[in-house]
Amino acid sequence: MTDVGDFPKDAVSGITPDEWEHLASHFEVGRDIMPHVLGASIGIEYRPARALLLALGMFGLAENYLYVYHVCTEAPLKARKLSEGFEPLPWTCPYCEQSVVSRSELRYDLVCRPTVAIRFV
Amino acid sequence: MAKLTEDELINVLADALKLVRDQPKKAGVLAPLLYEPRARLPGLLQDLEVFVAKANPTREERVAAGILLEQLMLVTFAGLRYDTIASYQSAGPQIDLLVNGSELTWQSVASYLRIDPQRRGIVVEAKATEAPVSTAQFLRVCALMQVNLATTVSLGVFFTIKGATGFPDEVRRRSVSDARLEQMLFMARHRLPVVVLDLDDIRQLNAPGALVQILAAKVQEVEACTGMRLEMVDARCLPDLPDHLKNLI
Repeated sequence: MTDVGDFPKDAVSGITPDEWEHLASHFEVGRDIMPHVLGASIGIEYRPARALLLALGMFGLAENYLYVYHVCTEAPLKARKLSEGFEPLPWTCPYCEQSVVSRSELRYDLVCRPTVAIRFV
Repeated sequence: MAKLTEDELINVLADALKLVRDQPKKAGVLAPLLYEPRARLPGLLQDLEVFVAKANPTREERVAAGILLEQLMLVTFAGLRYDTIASYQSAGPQIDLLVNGSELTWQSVASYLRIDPQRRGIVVEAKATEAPVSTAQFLRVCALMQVNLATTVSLGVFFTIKGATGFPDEVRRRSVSDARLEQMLFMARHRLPVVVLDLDDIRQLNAPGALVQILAAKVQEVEACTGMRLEMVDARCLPDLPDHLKNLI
């Protein structure tokens, strides 16, 4: 049986009751969720979406990651734990196999990976 | 989808965090993005352990330790998201380190440390002496901040092995004296924190975020002692509450 964790809605502001209503179905244990997905599916803005994903990490209900992108391709190339910070350079891109020495070639986005089933209370 | 540069990510996450209710873990979320230990740090830390394990270091070894601590200081502060890092020499003979920036990310560092956003430089001095930093040595950095770097720097840092005189160690110290007294006076008069890192602090520096978390905690501690801005140390105060109050929260 999967563990269940409660997340208090009052820990994050800027999310409407209607948005809270629709949020729960988007969180599954082990499935990565990004701010723009919440934006596209339930219309929640990036700022509160990011706040929620970070708060889930702080409450121990999820692990926050950063997707790492290189300018050579659209797809994310790896995920790093947020607690480990940015990718140290030099870094060899697994896609174009070039050695990356400049931070300006890398892009990031926030990801949230739930570790328990989340109930918004 | 938002693909963000490092600077952009720090700024949007800092902005998003304003929507999250305050709680102890909130402060640590951004720290790993603001301080990344450099690759050379672990080796230098090992060398430092070798030195501190020596019971009776020779004069040569002590000189070498001084150089080592200065190297450690530079490599540590180079892990911050700074714009400029330079050695600074006032009219006196001593060389210190000046770390500064103007970009948004450095402003995030300044905001994380709760130092003045306009006067956001940091001056650092390494002291590998056998004795803790004395009142006179402490005052020299205070004077530097107030006289030479009065419009650009608002945080002073001592990077030491033995700490400074009069600072609390294992037990709570209710009286103040020596360098600790000067620290409190300088804070009260000029609202400028000068903090002291010792060997225990330096040993923790190889973790992402460690430097900004240690500095922020120390800045808060100086403020708390002077009775200013107590509201922001609430989370840290909890374990410090006596039993009959602790259980109520």
